[in-house]
Amino acid sequence: MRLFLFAIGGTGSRVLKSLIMLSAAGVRPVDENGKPVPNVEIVPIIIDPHKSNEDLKRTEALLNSYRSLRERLYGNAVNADGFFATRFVTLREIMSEGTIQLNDTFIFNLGAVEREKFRDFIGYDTMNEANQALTSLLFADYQLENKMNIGFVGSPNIGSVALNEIKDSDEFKAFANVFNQGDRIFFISSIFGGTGAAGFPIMVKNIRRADSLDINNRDVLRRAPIGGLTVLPYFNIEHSEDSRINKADFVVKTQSALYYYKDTMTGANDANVNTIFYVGDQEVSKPYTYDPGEHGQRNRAHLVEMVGALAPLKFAGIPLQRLSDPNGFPLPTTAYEFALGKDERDVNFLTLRAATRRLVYDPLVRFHLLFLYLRTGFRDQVGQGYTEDEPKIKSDFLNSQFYRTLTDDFMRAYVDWLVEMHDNNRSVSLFSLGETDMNRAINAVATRKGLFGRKNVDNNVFKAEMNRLSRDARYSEHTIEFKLLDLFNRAATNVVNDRYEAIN
Amino acid sequence: MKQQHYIYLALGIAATILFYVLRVQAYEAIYSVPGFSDQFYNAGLYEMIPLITIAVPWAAAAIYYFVINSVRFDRWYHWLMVGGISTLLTIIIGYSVNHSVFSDMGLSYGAESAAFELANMVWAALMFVIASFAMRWWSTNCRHTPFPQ
Amino acid sequence: MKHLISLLLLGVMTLAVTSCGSSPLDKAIKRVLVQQDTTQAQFDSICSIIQQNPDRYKQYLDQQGQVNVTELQALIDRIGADLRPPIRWDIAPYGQQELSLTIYFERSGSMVPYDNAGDRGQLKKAVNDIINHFPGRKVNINIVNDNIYPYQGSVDQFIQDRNIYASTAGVGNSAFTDFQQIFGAILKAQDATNVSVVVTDLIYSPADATDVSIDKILNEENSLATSIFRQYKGKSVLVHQLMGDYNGKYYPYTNRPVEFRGMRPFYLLVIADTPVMDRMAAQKDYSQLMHPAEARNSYRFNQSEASVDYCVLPDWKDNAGRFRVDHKDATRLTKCEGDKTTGVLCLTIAARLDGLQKDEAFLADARNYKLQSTSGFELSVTPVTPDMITGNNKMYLEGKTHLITLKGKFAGPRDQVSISLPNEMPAWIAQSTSRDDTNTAANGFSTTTLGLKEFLDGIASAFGTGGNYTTITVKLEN
Repeated sequence: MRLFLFAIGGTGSRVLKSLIMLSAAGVRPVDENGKPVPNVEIVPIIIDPHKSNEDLKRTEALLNSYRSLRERLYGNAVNADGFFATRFVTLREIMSEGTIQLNDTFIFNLGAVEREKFRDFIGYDTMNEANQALTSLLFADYQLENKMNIGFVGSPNIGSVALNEIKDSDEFKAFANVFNQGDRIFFISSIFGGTGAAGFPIMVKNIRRADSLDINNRDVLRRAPIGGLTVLPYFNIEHSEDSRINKADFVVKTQSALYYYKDTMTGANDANVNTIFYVGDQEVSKPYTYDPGEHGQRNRAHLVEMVGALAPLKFAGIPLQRLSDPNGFPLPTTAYEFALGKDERDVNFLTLRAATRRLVYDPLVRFHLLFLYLRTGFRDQVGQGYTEDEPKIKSDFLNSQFYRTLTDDFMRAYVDWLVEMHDNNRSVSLFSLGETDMNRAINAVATRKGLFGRKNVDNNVFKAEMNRLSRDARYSEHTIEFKLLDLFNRAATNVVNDRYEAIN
Repeated sequence: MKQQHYIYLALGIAATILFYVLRVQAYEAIYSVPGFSDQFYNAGLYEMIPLITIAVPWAAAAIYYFVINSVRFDRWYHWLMVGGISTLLTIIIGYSVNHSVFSDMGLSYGAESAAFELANMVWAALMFVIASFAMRWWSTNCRHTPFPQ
Repeated sequence: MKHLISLLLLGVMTLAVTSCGSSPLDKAIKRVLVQQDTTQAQFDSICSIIQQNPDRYKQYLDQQGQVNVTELQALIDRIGADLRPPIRWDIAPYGQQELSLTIYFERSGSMVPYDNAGDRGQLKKAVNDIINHFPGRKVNINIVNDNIYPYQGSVDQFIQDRNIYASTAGVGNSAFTDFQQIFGAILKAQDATNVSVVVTDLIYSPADATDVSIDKILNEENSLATSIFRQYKGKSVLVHQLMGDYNGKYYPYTNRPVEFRGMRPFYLLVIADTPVMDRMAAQKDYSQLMHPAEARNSYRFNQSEASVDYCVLPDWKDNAGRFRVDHKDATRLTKCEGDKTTGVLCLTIAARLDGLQKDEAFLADARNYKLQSTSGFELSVTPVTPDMITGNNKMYLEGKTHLITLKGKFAGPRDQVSISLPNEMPAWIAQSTSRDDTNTAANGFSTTTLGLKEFLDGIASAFGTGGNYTTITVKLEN
C-alpha cells in the first residue's frame, strides 16, 4: 500500500518532520492488533508556495537524509524492521518512464503560483469593472498585492483560488498515474492558516471529482480512501503592528472552516473524507515570531505535531472495510481526536495514554539510546567486539557519508526537534536533554532494581549485548550500516526490556 | 558459529593432547640436566607437570573468555595480562608440586627445579595461546581478543 | 556452548585417563624401585596390596590365592624398565620357602683348644652368630668327628653352653676326622631348602696316618675332596676363614701333639644348592652367613657368573667431559666427548657387588678387575660410603657398593667397555696353606692350615670353577 501524504503549508511540513523522526525511530503503521502493516510506502508531497519557508526547507533536507540513510540500510526493500523502517519515496521515484518530466523532490512544483502577485495571478487588471468590483469585495487590497511565493499568509480565500490550479499540474497527473487500487491518500493541513485551510478541501474535491479531469485512474482515485489531519490552532504569533496573521483571527477562521468542512467533506453522511483527525491544544504555546519574508516561518516543533504525525500512521492501519463499502465506494467520515492521559504542561511518556505509549515508547527510547551511543560510545568501540565480526566496521566508517549523514545531519535535527518540543509549551520532556548517562536519559523511567542496586545501562552494556547478538547472527550478506543499526536495535530492545522499568 | 571455529577447537585439543603425548620430549627439548631429569621422570613429574601446564592455561583461558567475558576486559593487553598470570601460576604450582614430590623423595634440586619451571614458561605460555585460539570463538565479548580473526 | 563444554570435558578426560591410569600396586612398586627400598618388608607390603584387592589383581594371584611371583616379577620388570635408569628387582628369593640351617660342629681333639674359658672364644661366637642371625626357624646342630652325631641339647642350650667341648666330650671318636664320611653324609642329606655350615679347622687327620709322608697325605686329601664333591655339582661351597684364640694341644700330621698358644685359623664351610646360595647372596637377611664380619678371607666354589646392578652416574663429582645416558638402555652412553680443554673423559659406574660374595679387599682392589676397551681408560675402584649418598644421587647409589671410575681419552666413534672380575682361586688360599705343621714356632704357623690348598683345590677341581664373577659392560658412542 502506498500512502500519498499531502503535507500542505507550514504546519504540513512540521507534522511531516515529526513523522520522519517517528519513522526513523521505527514507529510504523500498525493494524488493530498492534501488528505492523506490511508493504506500506509513504509518498510525501509537500504543497507550499512559500518555498523559502524554513520549516519546509528543514523538512525537505530531513526527508532527503532519511531517504539516503534508508537506502543504504535496506536498499529498495519496502519492508523493514527497526530504525528507518518505513520507506519514503518521491513521485519521480515510483512513476514509470513517460512524457511527464518531474524533479526528484518531495515538493510539489506550484509553478506560476510562486512567482506572481495574487492580482496578476487572477488577472485583476484584465477584468471588467464589475468583476474587479466583485474581486475587491472578496479580497482586501493587501491580499491582491500579496506576492504568493511567501504563501497565502493566513488567507484561505487566496489559497482556495490559487491551489485550484494544482489539478492541472504535471505532478497531479503523475500522482494520478501511479495511484493504484489499495493505495490511500492523506492530507495534513492546518485549519487556521492560509495554504492548508484552503488546499485540503480543494484537493479532496478534485480527487473525488476526478472523472471530470483529464487524468488516468480516475475511477480508482474517485473511490480512494482519503484521510486528513486537521490541525486546530496550537500556536501563537508575537503581536506586531505589521502582522497579517494573529491568534484572534485563528479562532474565527477555524470556526468558519469547520463549518465549511462539515458541509462539504466531513459531514455525517459525507464520504468525501473517510477519516478525519483533529488535533490541537488550548494550552497557549510560546508565541512564534511573525516573519512572512524570505526567512520566515521557522517555528519550534510542538507536541501537537508529533501527535499529528501519528494520524497518517493510524490511518494506514485502519482496515479497508472500515473505509470502503463492499463495492469499493468510500464510507462516510469517522472523526478521531487525541487526548493525553493527564493534562500536564510537562509531557513525558507517563503523560501519554497507554495506547500511544505502546506505539511510541519502545522505538523512541531505542532511537534515543542509539543517539547517545553514537555520540558517546561507538567511536571508542570501533575495532573491538562486534565491530570485528564480518562485515567489519572499521574506523573509516566514521568518515563515511552514511555515518556523517546520520550523526551530523539527522541526529542534529533530532536533537533540535527534541529541544524545540522541550522549549515549547506544552513542554515535551520525553528525554532528559543534555544527559548522556543512559540510566537517567528517559524522563520518568528509571532502570530496574537488581540485586545490587539499580541495573546499569551504559555503552559497555550495549557493546556486550551487541557482541552477544553479533556472535550468533549472520550479517555477512548485509552492509555494515545495516549491521550496526540492526544490532543496536535488537540490543536496545533487550536492554529496554531487561534493564528499564516497564511502563507499558 | 562457523565450522572453521570447530576446526580451531579440534586443533587446539589435538595440539594439547600431542603435547601431552610427547611431553617428555617436549620438556627435555627445553630443559634436561643429568640426574635431575631422570629423577623427574621417575617421580612421575613428566605426567604431573604437563597436566598442570595444560590445566592452568586452559582454565585461565576459559575463565577469561567465558567467566570474566567482559567488554571492559577485552583488549589484547588484558588477554596478555591473563596469559601472564596464567603462566606465572602454572610455574608456581609446577614448582610447588615438583618441590614437594622431590622433598618426599629426599631430593634437593631447588635450582634445577626453578630453572626447569622458567623453561616451562615457554610451554605454559604456548598452551595459553593454544587454549585461547581453541575457545575464543564462542566468547560473547572477547572472541576478537587478542586480535580479530 | 554445550558443544564447547562437552568437547572440553572430553579433552580433560582424555588427559586424565592417559595420566592417572597407574594403580596403587603400580605406584607402590614404582616407589620401591625409585627409593631403592627393595627389601622383604616392601615385598610383603606389595603382596598385601594384591591380596587385599583380589578382584582387581586377580592376575597376580594363583589358584590358591597366593601371590604369583612370576606374574609379579613381570610387572616389576615392566615398571622397572620404564625408569631412568631402568631398575631390576629380583623378587624370586622372597617368594621361596624358608631355609633350614644345619650346623656341623667339628669335635676333634685339635678343635678343643679354640674354646678355652680364659680366651675370647671367637669360634663359638661365630657359630652362635650364624645361628642367631639365620632368618629361618629350623636349626639343627650336629657334632662331627669320625661320624656325624646329633647334638643332644636344644639350640638355646648350645648357644648358652660356655664349654661346648666339655659337654660333648663323649660324642664319637675325637681322635680323627673322617672327611669322606662327613662330607659324603652332609651332601647326601641336604635337601633343596637346607643350608649346612661345617665348623672345622679343615685339618685332614685320617686314622692311621702315622709314618705316612705328608705329600701322600695331601694328595690323598686332594683326591678325596674331588671325589666327594664331583658327585654334587649342583652344590656350592662357601669357605670363610676366621681366626680364633688357640690354647692347648695341637696335633700335627705326625700325630705327636705339641702345646700351642696363640691364634689359629678355623673355617666355616657353607654348603647349599647353588640356587639357595645365590638366593642367600642376594638377600641381606643372610649377610651374617654370607659375609661374617669376622671372616678374614672367603671364597665361594661353584659360583656361576652373575649379573649385577650397575648404572652410570649421570652427575658425579669426578665426571669429566660429556656423555648422555640413553633412556632406554642405561648401559649405552651417547654423545660422549672428552673435556674441552684436557680431552679427558671420565665416568663413574656405581655397581652393587655385594652379591658376588667377595670380600671388600678383593672388590676394592682395581688389580682384580679386567678391563677391555679400545680406548685407553684407567680403572679405579672406590667403595661407596654412606656420606657419598645424597638425596639427589640416592637413586643411583642406594644399594650400590662400589664406584668404578674410568678415566682416559675416548677413542670414538664406538667403544664397548667391558669390566670383568675373573673368578680365580684367591691368593690367600695358597698363603694360608702349610705342608708341615710340626713346628708350632715356625713363621706363619698361626695363619696357616695344613693342606688347605690341596683340599680346596680338590673341591675346585670337582666343580670346574672358572670364568668371571661378573661382567659390567658400558657402550660408548660419540
